[in-house]
Amino acid sequence: MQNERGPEGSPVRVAEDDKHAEWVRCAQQGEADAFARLVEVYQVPVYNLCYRMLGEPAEAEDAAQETFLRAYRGLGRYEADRPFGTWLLAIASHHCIDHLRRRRFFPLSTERLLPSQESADPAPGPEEALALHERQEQLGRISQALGPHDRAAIVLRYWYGLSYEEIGEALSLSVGAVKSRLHRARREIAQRWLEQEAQPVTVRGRSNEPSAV
Amino acid sequence: MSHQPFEDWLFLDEGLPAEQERLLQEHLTSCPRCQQLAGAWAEADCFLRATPEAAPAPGFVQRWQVRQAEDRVRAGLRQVRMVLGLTVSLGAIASLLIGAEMVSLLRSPAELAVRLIDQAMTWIVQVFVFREIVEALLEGARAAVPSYWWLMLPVVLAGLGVLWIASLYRFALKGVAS
Repeated sequence: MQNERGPEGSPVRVAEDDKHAEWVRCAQQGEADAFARLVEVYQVPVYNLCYRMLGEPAEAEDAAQETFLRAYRGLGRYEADRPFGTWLLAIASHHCIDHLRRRRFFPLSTERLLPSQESADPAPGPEEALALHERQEQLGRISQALGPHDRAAIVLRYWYGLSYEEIGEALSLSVGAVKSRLHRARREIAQRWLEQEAQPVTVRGRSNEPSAV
Repeated sequence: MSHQPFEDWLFLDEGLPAEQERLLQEHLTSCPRCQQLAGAWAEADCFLRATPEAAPAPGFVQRWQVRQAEDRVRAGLRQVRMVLGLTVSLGAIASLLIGAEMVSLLRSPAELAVRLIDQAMTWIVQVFVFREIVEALLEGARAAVPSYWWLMLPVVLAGLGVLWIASLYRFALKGVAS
């Protein structure tokens, strides 16, 4: 269920080549198969963004599907001078931000907020895998506490390596606002990380010793 | 102790100038609070960068194609409902107006007969007047417009008719989302 990121955690971007541009052109002319190929190529980045934003696999799947539907309907508005992937991520971000705003009125249970989809790599051994898994869940809980725009900025920056300008374009924010949101989000993550380090780690009702990672 | 500039520097994306970096390191050696914050951020940053991409369950594209087909059907149904709703609404308004007129007329049959005859006479007169106007216009146009234009007129009208029927078919049966 996971795609590893690049070496040393570098952000992964789908390399956009002439073939993709050709598929976009064909899709704009009404070829459904061409758009299906684009869905195939961009499903992981779009799903990952939705998952990092919403924290729940079923909602992420629904949001990713909706993103591609919106993109398909809005293909006429897509300008070829802009990277297609960034355009898709912008649609996904806006959809997830709207979803999170609506969720404020109908909040999910804490159990559902846990990013249970993350499974640690079993290779390092059970204890290390559990510790890594706990840290990832900790990070998931912290990121769920960020505001929708701050969370989107962090995801676009860390998972996709977008520039400030690209994030601003995707989230309809100025470059200054992006910098300020990223700064605020980092500070909040650090403070919450520090607070959670001081508490015993609890994963789905089980108390564990603080991780040694 | 003021932590403000140092806290700001800790969370900057870009590297700091050498002088600011030196001041920050000096502050970190003497301030446990900022040191803890810096350590927490370094660890969280490391996990942020190391967390793998999440991928959807296999068959995402097929599920999307099913959803797209459902969406297209929904859009078509929405359009049909909109057209039907508009037609029914207009029909209902027309029926109400005609019904109200009929009720008032049916109260006195003699008056109804007089009004029907009067209306029929008015229409007959209007048809005659219209014919005279058209004849006068055609007389003038026959001299002014070349004869091949008159031959093209039925072709153009037939083309427009075909376009009209095709657009009705396109919007009523196939929907906008296809």
